[in-house]
Amino acid sequence: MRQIFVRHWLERPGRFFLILLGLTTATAAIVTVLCASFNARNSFAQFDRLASGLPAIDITHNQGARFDPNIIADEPLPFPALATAPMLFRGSIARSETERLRCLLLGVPLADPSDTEEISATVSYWSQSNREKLGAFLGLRSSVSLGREECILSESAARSLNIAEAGEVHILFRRSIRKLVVRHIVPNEIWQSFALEPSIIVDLYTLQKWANLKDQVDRIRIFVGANDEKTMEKRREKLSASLVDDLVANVRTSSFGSASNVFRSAELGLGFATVLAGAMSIYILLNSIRMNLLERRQHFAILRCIGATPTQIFVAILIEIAAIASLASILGLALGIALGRLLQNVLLAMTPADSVAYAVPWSTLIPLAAIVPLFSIVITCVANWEQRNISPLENFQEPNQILAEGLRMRWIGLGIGLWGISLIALIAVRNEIIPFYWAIPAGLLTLIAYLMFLPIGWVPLLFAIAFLNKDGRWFSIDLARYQLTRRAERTSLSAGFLVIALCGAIGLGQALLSNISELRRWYELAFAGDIFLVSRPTQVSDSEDPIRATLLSLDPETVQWLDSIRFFDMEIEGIAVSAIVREFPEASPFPGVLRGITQAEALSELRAGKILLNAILAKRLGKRTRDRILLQYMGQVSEFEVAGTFVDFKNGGMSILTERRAMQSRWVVTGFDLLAIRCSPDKITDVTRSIQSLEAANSIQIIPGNDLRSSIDSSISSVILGITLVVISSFAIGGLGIASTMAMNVTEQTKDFSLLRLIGMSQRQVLICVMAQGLLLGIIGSVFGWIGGVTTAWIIHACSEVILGYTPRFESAWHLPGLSIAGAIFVVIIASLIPAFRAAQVDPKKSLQYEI
Amino acid sequence: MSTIIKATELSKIYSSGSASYQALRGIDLEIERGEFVSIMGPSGCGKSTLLYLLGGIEKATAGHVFFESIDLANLSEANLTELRRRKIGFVFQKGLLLPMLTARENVCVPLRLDRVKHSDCLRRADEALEAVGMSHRSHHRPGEMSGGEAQRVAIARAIVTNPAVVLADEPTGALDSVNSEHIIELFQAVVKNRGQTLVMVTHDHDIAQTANRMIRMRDGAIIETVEISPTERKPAHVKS
Repeated sequence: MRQIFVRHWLERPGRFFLILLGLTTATAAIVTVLCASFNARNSFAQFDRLASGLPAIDITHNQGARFDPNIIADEPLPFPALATAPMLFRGSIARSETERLRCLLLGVPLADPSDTEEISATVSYWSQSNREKLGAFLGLRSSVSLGREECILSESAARSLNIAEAGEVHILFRRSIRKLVVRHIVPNEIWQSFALEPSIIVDLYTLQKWANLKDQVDRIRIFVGANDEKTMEKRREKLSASLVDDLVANVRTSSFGSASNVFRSAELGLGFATVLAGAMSIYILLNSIRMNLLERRQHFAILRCIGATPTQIFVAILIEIAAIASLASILGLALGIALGRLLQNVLLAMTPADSVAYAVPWSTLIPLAAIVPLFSIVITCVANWEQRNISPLENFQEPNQILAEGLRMRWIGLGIGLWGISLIALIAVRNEIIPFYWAIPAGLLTLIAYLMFLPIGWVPLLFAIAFLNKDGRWFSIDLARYQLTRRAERTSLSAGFLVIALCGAIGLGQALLSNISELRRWYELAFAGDIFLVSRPTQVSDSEDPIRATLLSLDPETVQWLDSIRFFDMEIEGIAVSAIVREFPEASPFPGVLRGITQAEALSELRAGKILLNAILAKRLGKRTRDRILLQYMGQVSEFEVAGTFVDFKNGGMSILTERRAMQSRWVVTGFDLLAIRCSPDKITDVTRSIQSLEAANSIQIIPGNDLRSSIDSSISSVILGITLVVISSFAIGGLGIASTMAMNVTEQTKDFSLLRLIGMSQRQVLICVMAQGLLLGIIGSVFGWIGGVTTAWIIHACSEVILGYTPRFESAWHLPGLSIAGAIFVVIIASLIPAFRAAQVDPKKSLQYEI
Repeated sequence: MSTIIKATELSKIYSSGSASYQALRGIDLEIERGEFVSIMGPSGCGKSTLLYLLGGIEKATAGHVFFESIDLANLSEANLTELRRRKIGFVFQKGLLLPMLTARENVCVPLRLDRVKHSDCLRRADEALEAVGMSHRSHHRPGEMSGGEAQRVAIARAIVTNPAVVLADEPTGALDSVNSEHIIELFQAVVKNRGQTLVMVTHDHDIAQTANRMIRMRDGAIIETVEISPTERKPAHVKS
């Protein structure tokens, strides 16, 4: 028996490799995601851990403004500190010989103050011991100060600039180029105690001088020895009590919630893709094993006739599949481990984490390696179970004389039932009878049910096509129809993969386009302006603000309006929200899409001291218009009435909108984080020039409006690209399913095609026949995929209100179904080519082999 | 009568690895147009191989086959296929009908492959089925017919294109004696009456003697050619 089976595979290397490929792909897909996720998670955890860095307490201005660090210079701290680091941040561009990097300039007291009169060496943070401590944290040798023309690079910055210690870096800062020598490169895990972004550390005094910010810092970081929460909190409270009113103390925490969410979303997406790839591999494997058994039925029949029992044959099949699966397991492991490394980098590219040394999770992979052969055995049992009732004598018949599959009416009935249940669930979600998160399983159930009762759609479709061909012009269409109809289950499954791909492409694509359209509408309103100034807020009142004064002194036709925008971090019911405070100048468009309230009403209510809630936030809080909410800010709680809701995408929808003058009675609202300026189109350059003189003195950054909006656009483009790649992958997977089905169909029809060749069908006609099968599959997949896709889009649209708190405008993308269907047909044609060529090569004499 | 098929020094060797087997050894043969020739011999004597070579299904290792003076060895695969479609009708032991097509559709297949107009296909198929006495089963599938009925439909398919030659390989091999008789009668009535040439391979002596000429083969060679006079010719229903 062993000789028979081994020789069979030696004579059929193609089939051997097909099964091996299916198993290896399935194993590799799972292993890749496991390895990538394991390592990415490790990197992220390490980054998260290190991002906390050395335990520290930060002193900042309660308005986010800069302040004089000498406030605490001579006051003893209420607890022992390891070191004190006042820090000043400025943005700049660094250049090496070959590279360029936009990075942060970070000023920290590291130079020897004895060579300048302006620095008092008696100030605690300029003391030698403090400087030495800071230097030690950064890896500098003690007793060596950082020179005025020296810098320290983070490892990320050094890598990006392709520069080593003692190398030269040029800093572009305030239109001056300064040359610095790299004194030291700090490993990332140490750097994160100071900053997270790729940065260049220079001496604090040096940076203050460059930036004309004498005695100004953004924060003071106090490195403490304790790291338990209680001790840290006690020290923070003590420190807060000793500070002047304008300054606050906070325990330094890592704040990578959004990066963590991105990472987890990426993992989820990968998981979904793996499940899809795994399902496809199972399907391909099942088909391959079926083909294998089908082709050998006569051999098995002969063995049965000469005395082999079904069990003996079955065991031999299991052994050979287990052997192939074991080999595939090893190959899949090796391939998956290698690919996991690539995928890990993709995952980490979405977060600030750097990769750690690549590790292989053997404790997970070794059991997986054992599962793959076992799973293959299960699939073989399934494939063999389908042929269990065939007697040895029947095996001498041609395979296609065995009755064709009928439609499984029970499955269709079940599918209709499930579809009904899912529809009810979706209606319940839509009407908020059940929570919104039920929309996802309900949606998936709808899709599965749809696939189950697909035959009651495509069978009449094929008959309709037959009717169109009633003059018999296309014989290949008739033959194709016969084959697809008599293998209904296989046809449904393979068309189903295309349906899934199209549902994703059309459904998600439509939803994405609608949301992107909404996003574009948002930022064109929220960031309406020709010039934007970015600044740190000042204590200066509006009437004394030199920037406003300069701008308002210009011709009203030149500067049409100004809108000072401030962002405050607050809490509502424990949820971190961003309070957007704006001026709402008369001529400006309302900076958001209002819901349930007109613009005039909204302005009136805002000026009366009420607030607008972001629709997503309102949904989350369960608040409506006229409800009251409690806002927690700077340790104080204030009550506000909700005037209405608006659509805004800042902070993930966790935002409120308020009016500046109204809020000045409650909070200290001075200066701006962002100043939007609308000019006459031909005066933009003049206005920019008039502000440039104030740039240095006021530490502002001038950004053209188009630049700001285009940077948002490029982020959106990345999202579109990501989803496009997912859709393309779905089509590719659908194509694999079609290819497997076509291969199976061709194998079954080998005798038919050889007979047709015998009685005069040309190779070209055989090729067209098989392509016609593929084309019909493509038409079935396209038609029902289009229906499914439009339905998916409608379901997403209908449930948007419940999930997001608003319904995006439905942007009809007429090109989307067309493109998707064209893509499906293209994939099908490509997938059918090899089976078609194989069929065309069938030997006409093969049909004669079935003669006894 | 003119020669329609001529074989000269025809040989066929099957090779598999280092092993080889000579199925035919230097066959010389001429078949006249309209003739009914039977090829008889024990199993493994090469009679089916000879039939396949004459029909262009197999290629000869040595020698030539001329069909209407055209050397089959000089024809491309596409031309050979066209020849089989238009000039040769095949009948096999088990009929070899397409199971998913009805009898009428099976008979239409060679015509549809030749892109004959559909209405003409149906008309000619009906005529062919009428000729073989299977009009009443034209809408049934092969699985719904007896062996004899399926063989009749196969004959209808073979003659629907009005081929010059019908090659039959053991057409009664899978049938009982009654059906065998009917099939031979059919061959005689339908094929011969249309003036078509019939070459039939059989291992049954009685069946072989229903032909005009009987060629005996053994071990890949023709050992005897017997002209059967009309008086000697056995009617289909007579068995030894």
